Amino acid sequence: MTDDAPEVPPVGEWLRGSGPESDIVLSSRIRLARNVVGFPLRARLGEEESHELCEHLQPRIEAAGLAPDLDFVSLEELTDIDRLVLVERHVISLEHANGLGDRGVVSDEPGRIALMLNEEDHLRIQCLASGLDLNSIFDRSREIERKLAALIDFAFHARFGYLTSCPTNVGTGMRVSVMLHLPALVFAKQIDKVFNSVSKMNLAVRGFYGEGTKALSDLYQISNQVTLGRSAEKLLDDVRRVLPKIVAFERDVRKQLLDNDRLVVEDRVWRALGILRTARTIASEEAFEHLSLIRMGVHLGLIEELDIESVNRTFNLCQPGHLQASQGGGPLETRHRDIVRARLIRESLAEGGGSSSG
Amino acid sequence: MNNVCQVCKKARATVHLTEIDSENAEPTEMHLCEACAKESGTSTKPPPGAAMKFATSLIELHQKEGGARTGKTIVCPECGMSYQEFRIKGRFGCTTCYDAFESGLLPLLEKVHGATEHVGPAPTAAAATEGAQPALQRELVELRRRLKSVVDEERYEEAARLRDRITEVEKQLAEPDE
Ligand SMILES: [Zn+2]
Ligand SMILES: [Zn+2]
Repeated sequence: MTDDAPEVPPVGEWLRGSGPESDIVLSSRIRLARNVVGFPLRARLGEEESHELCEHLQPRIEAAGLAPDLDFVSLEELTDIDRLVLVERHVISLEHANGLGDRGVVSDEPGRIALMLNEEDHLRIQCLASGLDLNSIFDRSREIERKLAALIDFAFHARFGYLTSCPTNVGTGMRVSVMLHLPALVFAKQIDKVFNSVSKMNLAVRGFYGEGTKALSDLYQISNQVTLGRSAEKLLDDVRRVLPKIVAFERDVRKQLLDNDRLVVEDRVWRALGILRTARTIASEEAFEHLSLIRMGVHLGLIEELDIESVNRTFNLCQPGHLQASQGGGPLETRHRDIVRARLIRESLAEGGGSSSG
Repeated sequence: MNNVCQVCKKARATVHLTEIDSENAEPTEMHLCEACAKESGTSTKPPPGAAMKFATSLIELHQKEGGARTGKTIVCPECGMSYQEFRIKGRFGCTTCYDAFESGLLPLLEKVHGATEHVGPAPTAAAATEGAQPALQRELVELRRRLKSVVDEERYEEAARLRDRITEVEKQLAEPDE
């Protein structure tokens, strides 16, 4: 390999692995859906109107002075793989990546702020933070919304609130979500208890999906189920209140596992590391599965030779978009990808430091 | 899993289905009691594709409701979308659709959100209620008003100058008082 070979895109905010409770809470996210008065909604927005919408939004977003270092990217001008990288960095939704017509994203590099133009709604304002940090992203998303509302007429209805393409988002248009890593609860078959209690509290739980349809690597996303009939503060509070309980539950079970089955846990964690350090070909699903155990092992102090940064870096490069981007950005067939993945993982998790060549 | 039926919210849910979520295109679960499941055409042990059939049957059910209420097809006067099309796509064509489809929309919102009315300030009210220093606050409102009009006129250089002044005033407002 030469020094000027393309590198894996850097780890984004959602995978930074710091912030409060970051051993269990990967990231916190708030998304506001807004539409602009005078344009049809997405289902009736023609090609020319999509273009006009972006032309309308872009200068106003610039003029609003939201944050330094925001860049506009037109999704039509990106390759499929570059769009996939943005999805994997949680900067845009999969729907936005696969959408049609003129559409774009204004974001900063780590993906703390992302404004999707012409997604399902005309504008989706997204704020993201590593760890459990709902208050600061709530304030930030409000601030952005307020600055934009001074320049853009957002569709607002006296009875229904902010109008959205889909009736499931109407009202506040706000989706608060938190990505949790719950390997011990899955391991101890307690995860159903979380599903049970959370669904009784107007919250939704979803698995984290990679290439396939199977939930991956013990990652779960909890978000508010409803957007109408409760104030934004109340909706935020609904999510915020339940989180310490889930975090405590996962911690308790981790401790219990260590107290009762330390050897079994150690065995699983070290085997996972052994496989990733020796595999010659590996699919992303299997890689994520092992990395999940390793992540827990590092946080429990079972593996002292690795830090959480190298685990996150490895997770990052396992993702299909990131992997292909690192190999020059052209599409690779799955078989070839699995071989490259195994090699990159071996380098990333190598014994004795393991810091990458890049 | 939920214990209470999501449709009637009374009986114990014994039928559990996976449905495609409108927001993320990821599967979510539906929990129904035996009676409600039967009414929507779903048997206790759903065969493959049952979730889709169930979703379609719900659409049909709502079409019947909408039709019965008005006696004819409702069409949005602004964008031409029919109520049926809205129920199939699950997406509105324009903001006027909300008013045009109100009679069918209210029970739908009740079911999805358990509510039919927004709680929270309107956009302009939200922008006006923060800050304590009246003079600066007034200047800020005026600056924002001017910024909007120069951006509307595509005078971006002046917009940049106004934006800098706005940032300055906002900083002053954010500093704690003596
Ligand atoms: Zn029922
Ligand atoms: Zn309409």
